[in-house]
Amino acid sequence: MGRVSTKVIGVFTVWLAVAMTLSIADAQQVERPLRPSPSQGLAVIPFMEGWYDNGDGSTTVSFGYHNRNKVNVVVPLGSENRIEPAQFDGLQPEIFFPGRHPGVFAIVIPASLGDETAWWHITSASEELSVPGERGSTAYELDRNPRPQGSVQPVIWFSDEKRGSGPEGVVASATKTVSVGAQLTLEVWTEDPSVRDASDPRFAKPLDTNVSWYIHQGPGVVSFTEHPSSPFTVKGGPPVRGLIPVADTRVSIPGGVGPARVVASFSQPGVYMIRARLDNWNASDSDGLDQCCWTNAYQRVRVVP
Amino acid sequence: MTCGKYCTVFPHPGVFSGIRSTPILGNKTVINMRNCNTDFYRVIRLALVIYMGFQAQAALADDSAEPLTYADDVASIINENCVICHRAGGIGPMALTNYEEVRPWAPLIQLKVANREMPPYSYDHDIGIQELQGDWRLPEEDIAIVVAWVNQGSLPGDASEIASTPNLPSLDEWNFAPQFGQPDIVLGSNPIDVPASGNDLWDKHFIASGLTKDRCIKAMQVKPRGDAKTVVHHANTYFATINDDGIVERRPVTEYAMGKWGEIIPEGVCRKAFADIMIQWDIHMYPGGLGGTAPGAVIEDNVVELGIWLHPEEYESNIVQDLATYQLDQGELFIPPHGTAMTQGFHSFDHPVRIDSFQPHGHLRMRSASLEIFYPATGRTESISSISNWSATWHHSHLFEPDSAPLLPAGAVLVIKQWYDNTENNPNNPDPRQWVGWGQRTADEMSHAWIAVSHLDEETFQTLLAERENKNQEDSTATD
Repeated sequence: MGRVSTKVIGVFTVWLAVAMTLSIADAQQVERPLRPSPSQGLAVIPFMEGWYDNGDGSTTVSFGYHNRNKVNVVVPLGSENRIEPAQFDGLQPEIFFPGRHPGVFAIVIPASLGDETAWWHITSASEELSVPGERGSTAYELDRNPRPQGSVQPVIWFSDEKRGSGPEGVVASATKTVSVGAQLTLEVWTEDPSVRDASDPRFAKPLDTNVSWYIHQGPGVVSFTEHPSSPFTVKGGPPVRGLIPVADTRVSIPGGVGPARVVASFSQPGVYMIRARLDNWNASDSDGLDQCCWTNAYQRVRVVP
Repeated sequence: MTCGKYCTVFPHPGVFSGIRSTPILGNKTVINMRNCNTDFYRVIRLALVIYMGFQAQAALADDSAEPLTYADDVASIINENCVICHRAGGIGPMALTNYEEVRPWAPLIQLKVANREMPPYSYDHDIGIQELQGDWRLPEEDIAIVVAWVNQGSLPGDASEIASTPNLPSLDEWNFAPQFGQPDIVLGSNPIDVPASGNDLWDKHFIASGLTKDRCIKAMQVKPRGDAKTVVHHANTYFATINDDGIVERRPVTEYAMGKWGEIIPEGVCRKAFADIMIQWDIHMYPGGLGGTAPGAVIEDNVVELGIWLHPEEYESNIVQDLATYQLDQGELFIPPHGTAMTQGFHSFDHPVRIDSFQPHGHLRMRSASLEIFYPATGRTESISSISNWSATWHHSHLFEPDSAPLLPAGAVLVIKQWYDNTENNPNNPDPRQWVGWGQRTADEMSHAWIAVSHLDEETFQTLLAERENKNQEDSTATD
């Protein structure tokens, strides 16, 4: 073997040192050059919003997502949209709307499973992205205590059923049935138990709350039209903080107490789930990205031909 | 011995727990050369400083050289730069007021000082403007002395030779009291209990300002009381009005984020305090707190105070200064698990300005920030500030000395960049497995900078330019 020159050795050493300082991240991502994002073709990002200590050893974990595309992304439940372990699977959305959507569902890890970690996996745009949910870092710990100006999670229920609050909310006990194309009135009852200082001009009158309706799961298209008793309040309004879109189906609940209704029709047979989100984000201490305060309610609908 | 230059500059610092590693091998994306170079550069700096220490030690191998001692060489450095926090009741986790207190911590002191983690003021040397008000950084020679002293065995020396500890201000004293006396106005927030754990809290309430006449502000400091220092993430104040519909309109008084010293408004401008208007507090609290001294317990009756020093009533100026946020909205703020991200922001003005201070803002994943100026007329880019080891527990507003603050013609562009590290290498990272996006919570991220800007007209701009040029020529002549 010929003698390797000192210069070559030096160049090799420098190359080796440089190579040792550079490495591709072991991240759940393809490379993302710094260029404007396209309007579609981007993977939906799941978010673990935080966890609640339920006081009985169980843990509620709230999940949300961000769809960076300007169009809806549909990922049916299954291998490309699953939660592991399987016992937690089933309540996650199948339809992902553009923008940031915090706390769209929650799971409860029972006390018997202790520090179990549940993973939500979403595959879209040929890319699987995942997040873990667990009783973990205190930086992600949430609570149900009043916010500084008194806001708490509002309360929602289906007629004659138990009440619920928070991202885990309530699931209607009965499945409604409707034919394709027929109109179905959906209804939730609401109350905001927040106690605020009436001497503060911002709270001189009880604040209105809001209910927004979403298709959460289902094979077809759902058309929402406003019910006479619950007119839609905003169409195409600016997003909350530029990230959380205001739903076209948002209705206002005067004084924070009362029902919200919407009329839905379904384009094809199958089993759907409609989500109603009740929020009190009109209050200065309540906001979607501050993780308080809102409540979900889920209604299954079986659509027949 | 006089109290050193840092005697007036100590707000309410928190202290990292643990030792930050500076790996050569890291888990970094290819596009994020900045962090790679920064960590590599930091390792090189550390090696150079330690080398300097060994050189100093080697020089002392000469029989005629005296070894470094605490008494003769190190006590003054620590007393002038460290004991303001590292004393009984101070926010430092240990006191360092005498040799017996310092000696057990010597190796850690060496590491922290050599890494420029202590004093906690991250601002890169040799990049951009170095003339800063309230600059806590140690000179290289002081670092070399501390490093060499530890390498030599941390010798005590003759205790009788140690100058007395400087006259330290009380733990609750206002930072600017030695310069300006007590504040003219002190406004306290409403007390609130901060729980030991749970979700972040945002308290937004109103108090009366007490001002009956518009005045120009000289300086401001926001000061959380007691243990609240470690749980108050930020405490902003606004001049605010509420209309009949309960809608709030507001503009900033000042911004506070954990570790901030305060603001000094340069002479010759007016940052106005408005009369007959409310002050809105917007306080973000992080239960459990950040840093090694966080109590992890309920803090009762948490109060934050705003101290305002005013110019005399007759003081006036037609140059308006304001403080505003400048967003970095170029580049997605989505930080993948075990990955990194970068954002950029571009801002320009249609009139000349002077940039008086620069304060990048982020949370637990943010690691670096920079400010540059791009001049479209010439195509030149000028580096102003670089912070390559930014910390969420030290939100310094880097106040440029007035003679060095950038003077920008109309149309010049502020180019702000920030880098985020969601890997295990980031000691502040609560969970590198999570996707991180924009949000107000400590666990989420933000991407903006608070910048104080003096708004000039063309005549004033040209006058300031000429004054600076003359001064530079005088200084140059004086050194010839």
